[in-house]
Amino acid sequence: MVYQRKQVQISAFIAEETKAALDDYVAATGLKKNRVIEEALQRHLAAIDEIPATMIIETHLTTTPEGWKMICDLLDSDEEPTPFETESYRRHVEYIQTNGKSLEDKILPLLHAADGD
Amino acid sequence: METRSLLREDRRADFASGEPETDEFFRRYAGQNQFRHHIGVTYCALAEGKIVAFATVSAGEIDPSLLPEETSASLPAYPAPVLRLARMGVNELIQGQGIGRELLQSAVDIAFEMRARVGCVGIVVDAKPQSQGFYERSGFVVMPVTSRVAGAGAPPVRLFKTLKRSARVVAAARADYTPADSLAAEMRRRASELGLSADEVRSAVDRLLG
Repeated sequence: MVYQRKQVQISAFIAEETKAALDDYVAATGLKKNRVIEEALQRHLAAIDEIPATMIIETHLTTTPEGWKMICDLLDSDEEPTPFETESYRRHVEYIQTNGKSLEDKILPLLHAADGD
Repeated sequence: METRSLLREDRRADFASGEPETDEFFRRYAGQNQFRHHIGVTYCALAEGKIVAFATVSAGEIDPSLLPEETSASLPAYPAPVLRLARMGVNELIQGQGIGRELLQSAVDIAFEMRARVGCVGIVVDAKPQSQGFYERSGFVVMPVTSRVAGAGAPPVRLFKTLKRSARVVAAARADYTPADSLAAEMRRRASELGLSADEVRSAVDRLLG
């Protein structure tokens, strides 16, 4: 008896180039399109869970329409910086102008204390 | 103390931020990402030659999943380039002293350079839930992301900040931070990365000035 999994149909809008590449591949290999697509999906989903999350830097982020609107609104906004931002930048300038000494003076005693110096 | 990009010979094995995943990333993957895959660069803060904090950045983009009904004059509806601040870690012994703030400002500097050279509208950080407040105080807002997060563990919170906002901070402080300060900082960083002596830096400046 041949075991057959229950199958469902999905559809998706994809780039014309991707569709053309798929057509070329199935024409060259003789494989069925549904088999190629399902195997590709399974391999993709398995692969991303095998890579440790700590290693991945996702460079392409997709946001929602609301998220995109928020970004556009922020780019249009003239909101004043917070005092925390202003203070952070003031400290950054001090860090650069003192060649890092402004922070070094604060952290070296902590590091030396931990080393037992 | 100095801030510069990671070097191959930098010792990373004993870095301890108190966050196992952060330390694991720094020890095992920061070098691979930078030197083998070229998908990100890690900037380190060093005290007495020892790495005490790091921040990993890469170029990225934000893509609207569906075209918004109303388009904005500020941004066309196609992917917008951003700087990704993907990981940051500070030695557990010196947390709360302002190192994270300094690394964040260094990332802002890099984003401005990116904007000038290839375009960049803002910064997107991956924040642990316990760091979200720090980024919100720094002007970031939570950005909804529909992309699936790969791997195990709780997904990070994504926050966004425009460079326009950072530019307002810089403009307000312009009198205190001149372009000459900026140039000196950049030269100091590059000289450190290249291992140049003071005499070699002077020689380079002499050549520059003809």
